Amino acid sequence: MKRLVAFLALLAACGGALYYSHRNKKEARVGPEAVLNTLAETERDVSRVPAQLTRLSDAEEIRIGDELAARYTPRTESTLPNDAALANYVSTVGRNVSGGARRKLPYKFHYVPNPSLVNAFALPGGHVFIGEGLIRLMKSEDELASVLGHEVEHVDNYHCAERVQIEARLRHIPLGGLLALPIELFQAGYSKDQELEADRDGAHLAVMVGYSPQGAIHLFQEFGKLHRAYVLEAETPDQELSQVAIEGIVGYFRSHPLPEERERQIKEIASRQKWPEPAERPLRVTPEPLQATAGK
Amino acid sequence: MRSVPLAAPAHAEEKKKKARSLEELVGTNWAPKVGIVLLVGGLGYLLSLGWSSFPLWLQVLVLYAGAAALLVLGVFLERKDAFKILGRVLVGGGWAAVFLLTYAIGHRTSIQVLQSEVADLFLMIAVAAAMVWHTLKYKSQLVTGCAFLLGFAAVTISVSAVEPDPSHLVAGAILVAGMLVIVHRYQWYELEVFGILASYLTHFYWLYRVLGWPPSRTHFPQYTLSMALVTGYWVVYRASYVWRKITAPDQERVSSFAALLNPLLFLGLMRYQSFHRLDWAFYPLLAMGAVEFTLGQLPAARRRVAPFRVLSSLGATLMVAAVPCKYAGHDAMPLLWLAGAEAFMLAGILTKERLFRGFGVIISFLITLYLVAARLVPWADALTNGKPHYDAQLAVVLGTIALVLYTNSHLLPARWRELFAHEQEQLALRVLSFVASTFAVCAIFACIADNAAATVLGLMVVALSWLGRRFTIPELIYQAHWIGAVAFAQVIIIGQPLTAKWLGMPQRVWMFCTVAALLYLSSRFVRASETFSALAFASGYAWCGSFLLAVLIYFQAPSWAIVLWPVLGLALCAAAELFKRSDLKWQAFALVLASGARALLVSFDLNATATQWRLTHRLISVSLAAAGIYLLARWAPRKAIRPVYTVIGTLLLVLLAYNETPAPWLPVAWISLATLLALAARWWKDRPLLWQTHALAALAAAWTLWGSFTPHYRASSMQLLSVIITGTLLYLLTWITNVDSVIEDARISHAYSWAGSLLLSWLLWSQLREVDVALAWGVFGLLLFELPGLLEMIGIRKWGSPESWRAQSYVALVSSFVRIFIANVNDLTGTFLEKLTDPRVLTVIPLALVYFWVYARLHTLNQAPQPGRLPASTTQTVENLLACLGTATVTAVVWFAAPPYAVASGLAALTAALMAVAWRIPRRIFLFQALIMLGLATFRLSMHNFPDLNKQFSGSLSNSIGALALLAAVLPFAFLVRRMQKPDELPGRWAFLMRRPEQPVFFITLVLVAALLFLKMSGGMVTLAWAVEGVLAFILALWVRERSFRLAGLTLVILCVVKIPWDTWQFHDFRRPLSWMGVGAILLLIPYLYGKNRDAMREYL
Repeated sequence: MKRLVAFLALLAACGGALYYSHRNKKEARVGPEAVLNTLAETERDVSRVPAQLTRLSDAEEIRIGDELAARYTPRTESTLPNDAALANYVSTVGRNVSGGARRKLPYKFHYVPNPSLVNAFALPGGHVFIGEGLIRLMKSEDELASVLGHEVEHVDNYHCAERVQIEARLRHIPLGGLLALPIELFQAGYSKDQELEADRDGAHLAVMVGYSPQGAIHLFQEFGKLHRAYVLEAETPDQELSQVAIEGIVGYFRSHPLPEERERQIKEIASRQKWPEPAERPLRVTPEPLQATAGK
Repeated sequence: MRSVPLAAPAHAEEKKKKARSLEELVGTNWAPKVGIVLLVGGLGYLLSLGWSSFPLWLQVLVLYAGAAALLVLGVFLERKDAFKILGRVLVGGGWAAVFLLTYAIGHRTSIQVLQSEVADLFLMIAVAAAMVWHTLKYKSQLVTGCAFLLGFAAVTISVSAVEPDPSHLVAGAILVAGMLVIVHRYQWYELEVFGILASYLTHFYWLYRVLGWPPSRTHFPQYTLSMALVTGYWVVYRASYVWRKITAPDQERVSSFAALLNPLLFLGLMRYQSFHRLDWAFYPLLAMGAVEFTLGQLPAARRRVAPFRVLSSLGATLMVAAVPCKYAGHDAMPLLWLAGAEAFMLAGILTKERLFRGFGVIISFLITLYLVAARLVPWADALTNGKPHYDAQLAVVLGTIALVLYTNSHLLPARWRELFAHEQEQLALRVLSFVASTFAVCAIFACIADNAAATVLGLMVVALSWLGRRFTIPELIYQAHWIGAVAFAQVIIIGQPLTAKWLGMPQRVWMFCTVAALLYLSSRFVRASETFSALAFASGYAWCGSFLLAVLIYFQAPSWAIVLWPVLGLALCAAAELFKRSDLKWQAFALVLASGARALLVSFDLNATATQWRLTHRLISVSLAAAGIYLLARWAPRKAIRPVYTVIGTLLLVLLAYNETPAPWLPVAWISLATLLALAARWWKDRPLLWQTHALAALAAAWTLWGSFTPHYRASSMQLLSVIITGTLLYLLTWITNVDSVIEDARISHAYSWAGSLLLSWLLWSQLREVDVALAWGVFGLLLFELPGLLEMIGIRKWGSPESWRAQSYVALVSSFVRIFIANVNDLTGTFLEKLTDPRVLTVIPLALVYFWVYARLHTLNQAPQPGRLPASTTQTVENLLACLGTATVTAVVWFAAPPYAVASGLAALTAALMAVAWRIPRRIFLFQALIMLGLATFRLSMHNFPDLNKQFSGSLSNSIGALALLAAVLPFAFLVRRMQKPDELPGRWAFLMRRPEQPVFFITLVLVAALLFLKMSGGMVTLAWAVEGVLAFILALWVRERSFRLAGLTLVILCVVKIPWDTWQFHDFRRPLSWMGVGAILLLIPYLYGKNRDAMREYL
């Protein structure tokens, strides 16, 4: 009898949980992200100590970064005067932000005049690229500073250098051959922990030179809108299974944290550290409207 | 807290004493007595110091003195029996050193003291002569051989230094003469081998200096002398070989090798210096072959047997090799060889000498190789490329050779049976018989037209099989096999396009029918023969004949083949009854299969244009085929394969149903039909019908999965209704099909319940939201687990096996567990509490309760085993797995809901909790889980928290300290668990850890604390902190009376002592004295503690 009562209680608990779930409709994303994040974190955890012990010298990292950047630089060239002004503006903000970085490297900031590039990335040695598409999402210089600070911290925290080391290990190639590494490797992002770390430290860099942490927060809110627009749902069990499998393969290196989580982290640190929150400064130079660019 | 010792053998006591004395030594005396610096002198350095500054003459003198010392030592040692070999080696080495020094003083610029090369040559020859003189005293072939080789080396060196001169050749000849004398005097025939090599190679080097490489192929002044000298070498060595005294078998073997080496090198040198055309070689080779052959027949050679064989073989080889020099590329060549082979064969028969017959056989094989490589391969290439391949000349050559080889293989052994008794000879002749058959077949293809070749081959097959059976010659039967295969292939390849008529019938019909008839006829002869697998091969002939007729039907009437094949099958069955041959029934069975396959592949073609005609034709042909198939079932070769016929009929019916039934209800129709079949099978106890039920049910289930879960039907009532009906009927079939006397394996009926559960699980996925699926599957698994008990409560006992239902439950539970990770823990945000109250996590928490519930219930069931249940090891594994699922679910909640740096603390807390559970509920699985969790916590702490200890905004330090505190809290529970373990029941691999769980807990904590101190402290403070940690561990060890802890503490303190020099070198501020003083104080404390607890330690050590 006791067993029957316990069994019914267990069923009731399960039923209660299902009812609670039904009442608090929460969107669930079906996919391998949690597993991938765990795997990526574990991989990083396993590799970071050996990576620290066999770290590249700064000179070597700068040389590799310069060679990789030289391959990508043609995509940043433009004859439009507004693009030149934007490039100059990005460099100014970037130099300002990178002044507080721990590693004293020759940081260089590049503007990529491509409206479809809604991304920014850093290369080893201090090269930071930001796409026109991403700047179009911004409304303030504080947002720009937070993005550039984030990328600077990927270099500052050796994330780029560690990726080079790991790729060299995985592909069994010597350092000389690393120059042939695809740039996309650095555009794909890092593990969840690394991204959160770059968020924290990047926002700190921006705040140290007088920018508002609200810039980072507003930008993550924009990212959240984009993310929700791209979520896909499976129609059948087998489709779901294949979707999970495919995402498990292609998404291994794309284990970014959710924008909401990143936003929450910055809010918490800003509150805990009592960061000043001055009014956000509007962008001094903005990309020309897309139609005008197309007309030219 | 002291563990109870299992046994105390004497050696264990001894081991303990040694360990104790070592520990005491280390603990009380090791620290002040560290450090003896060791120094080693350098002999090589001393040598390098003085050597290069010596004068040149002194260096030479010293080297000679060293070599002389070797010689003297060798001479001295050689007199003693125990060092005889060593002495001789030293003598050889000493002489070699002297010789090399003699060479070096004239040629090496580094120590060159002699400028005249002629004088040096004389010196080298003198040294060699002295060596021969000296070494002959020892009667050592090795040493004397070295002397001669050095003599040849001296000559070679002299050739390399100056212009080549005939005098060098003369010097070589003198060495050869001298060596041959010694060879024959002492019977050192091994030395002769090296002499042959040395003389010819020295001569070659001389020629190389004259002619260069590649050779100039022109006449040179010393040609005649060179040729005479080389010929002289050959003559002298050959004479030496024929007229020598042999006293041991080894000597004969070495002599034979020398006898073969001599002509080889001779011919090589002659070719190298020759400037004539290649065809000139015909006569010298023929002459040399004749001479060698003649020498082999001399009484001196025949007495020793080996020279007779070697020289006769050489002669024969050379004569055969001479022929291509003049007749290469001509068809006369194989015939000439054939003549030679027959001559040897007849000579071997008339003189009764097997070696000569062997020559004949070998030459026959040579002819075979030549013809294959030079004539048959190009001809076969033309044949396969469709080029004209008629070659009368080739046919004549091949036919002639085939005839001769058949004669050699079968007629000669039949006539002189006693001569061909040797097994190897018989084997060779059998192989030649097969070669003859190959040549005969090639001859047929070379002179017979394509449309008749198969028939002629068929006739040859008949002839060979008849001859083989009549005269009991198995080889001929075997040849008939492969030639029959060739004829069969020829009909298949050539037959189809032969549509032209002959005598009113297509040539194709003639060819197929004729060859089929010949194969049937051959089958009779083969069947009557006494050869390997005669019955199988005879059957193969009949199969080929039937296959040809079936193919003919297909070519002549393809659209009615599915009807005519069963008709042919009926004819074969009638013949089988008449001749009592079961293989014909099997052929009829194959025709049934072919008919069914063709009906399925062709008659159900949905691309037919005219629907009415397509249906009519399909109806007629498939119906007739099915009727024929059912009729043929009467004469099935085995009763066991009769169901195949009914299966084919049923399959045709199922396919008809497929074309008629509307798609959404097709699985319902099929499962209904399957239910009817199952009822019929249950009624008539018909197992094949039951199997058809299985297949149909599987089809229905698969169709449901494929068709009913498309997005179109998702969450619809039609899906709900159709899947529930299908699932219910599948559950019903679990009972219907479970007939003890019919069903072979009860697990088959369980498969129905598995399929039903699968469909219902998918239905849950399709009808519920993503968040709820994991929990729904968990509840479904829980219900399946409890279902047997519920059924029993209401009186239903034979509805599937409880184990099967529970196995389905386990699958559902595991699926729900996997589902957690892809649907419930993605994208969690917020604080720990917010995440816990998120519906995605909240629906996971009851799942852990479900897993632990099933674990507990299964554990109770396993305590009362019942007959028919799974083995105890399996149920135990499942039980453990479920406990692991529960713990893993809780771990997943901690992992994904806790902040990143707090995960380690969470894992440490879980470790403590699991260890406490392992103490309160003494089940080994929880201890095992605690140890695994300890590993996880360690990994997380050391790899995730520690690297970020010094980073800004990192909560790593506080969480790390908290985690370490929690790990330390595990230790008391670990001691409690240790006290409850029974050592004899523990598994081998984990035995130690399970028996002594406090060990990993303590050591991991100790190492992690040390690592934390290293990362957070600076410089010398690390040393001091480690020392404090070490002494604390030491004190703890004394308290809990654990020797390993005490040794660990002591080791840590010793490590600090080792680290002090590093600190001394690295730091120059206060940290240096601080570390020195602190570690010193602790070092003083250690002996104090030892002294105070000495007696107690010795007691529990």
